[in-house]
Amino acid sequence: MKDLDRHAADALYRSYGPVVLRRARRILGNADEAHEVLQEVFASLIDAPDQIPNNADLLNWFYAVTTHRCLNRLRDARNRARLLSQHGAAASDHKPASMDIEVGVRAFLVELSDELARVAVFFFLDEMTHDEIAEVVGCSRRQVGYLLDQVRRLAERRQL
Amino acid sequence: MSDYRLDAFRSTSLPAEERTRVQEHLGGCARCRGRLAELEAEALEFAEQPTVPKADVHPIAKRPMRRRVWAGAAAALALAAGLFLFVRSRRPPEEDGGVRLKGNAHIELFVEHRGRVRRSSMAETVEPGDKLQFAVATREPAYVAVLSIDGAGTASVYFAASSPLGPTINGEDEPLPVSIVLDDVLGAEHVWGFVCKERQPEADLLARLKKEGAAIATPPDCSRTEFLVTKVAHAP
Repeated sequence: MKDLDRHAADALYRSYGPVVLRRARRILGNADEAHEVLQEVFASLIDAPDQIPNNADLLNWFYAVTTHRCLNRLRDARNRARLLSQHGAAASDHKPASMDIEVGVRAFLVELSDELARVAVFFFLDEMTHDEIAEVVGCSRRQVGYLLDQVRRLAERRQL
Repeated sequence: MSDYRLDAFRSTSLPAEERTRVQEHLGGCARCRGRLAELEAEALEFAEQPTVPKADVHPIAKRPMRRRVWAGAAAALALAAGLFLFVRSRRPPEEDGGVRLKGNAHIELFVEHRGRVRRSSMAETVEPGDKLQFAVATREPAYVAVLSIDGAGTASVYFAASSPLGPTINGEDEPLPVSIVLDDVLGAEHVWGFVCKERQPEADLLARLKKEGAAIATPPDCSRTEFLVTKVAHAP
């Protein structure tokens, strides 16, 4: 797609905007930052329409680009500090287990390489199957299993 | 079933075989049906967002491209807010130049659901009694056709122009003389809109649709728009 006219941009926004926003909220755990990611994704799409794949791959593209931008935000120094302090506070205040897990997972994600963090997001937060992850990442199912084994080993070391 | 699989089901990206598998699973899994309904409601809420999230409060000079995205989205929402007002009104030119229409002709679909009208996305959830209104945007005179295969597998040609339509003013939407009140057949209905340089006889289109089914090829010198309209007993 060389050009992206207004109608096409609107159609993509209406169709995939909810997906981007929902996943960004889930990954970041912060509604304001999720809206920022939504804006970034669609602004980038207008700026560089050549990056948009054909229709069949659009969903995978939006999943991948949302994950990428969210991980970058989590790695941001300010967010790292926030996550680490939240993780500590959640543990000491005996907050609900699910919140402990989500905050803990985010704090853990920032320590991982990009490749491991992506599959960890898809597996632990999106609860996708190995096949689905392979589809989005563009690798074999076996490679997904190998990467998740590494994530699990690192998680065990951190006692998550 | 993951949100990813349900998102794929809601989009038009899932191959027919996989789509059938998902539909079969949904038929026997209340939890996944419930989650699908949540995703549909979430998408509807997103489409009806009355205000632009955060982009408009940022200095435009810092984020000019973002404003362009939201300007387009807001225009679409403003259109969808009035009951087919778009038929008679013309949108003013984008103040900032916006994202220009490049002349690629296409079909738009509007859904009237319980008295409210919205511009359709590529995937829509509707219920019996809802109305579909088609519109065309083209910068050149063109022959327009709208085809469908409903949930029962029935192929139909909703509209096939015998004379050219357009050009539409500024390449914006103009209504087609076809609106449809949905019947009680539930399931996924595929709708194709073709905007062509040459006339496409209705009988030829219907014969091709019956023969090729959902894999129907785009006729030569035509642009193609595709919608997946899922009809359920009670849409959000």
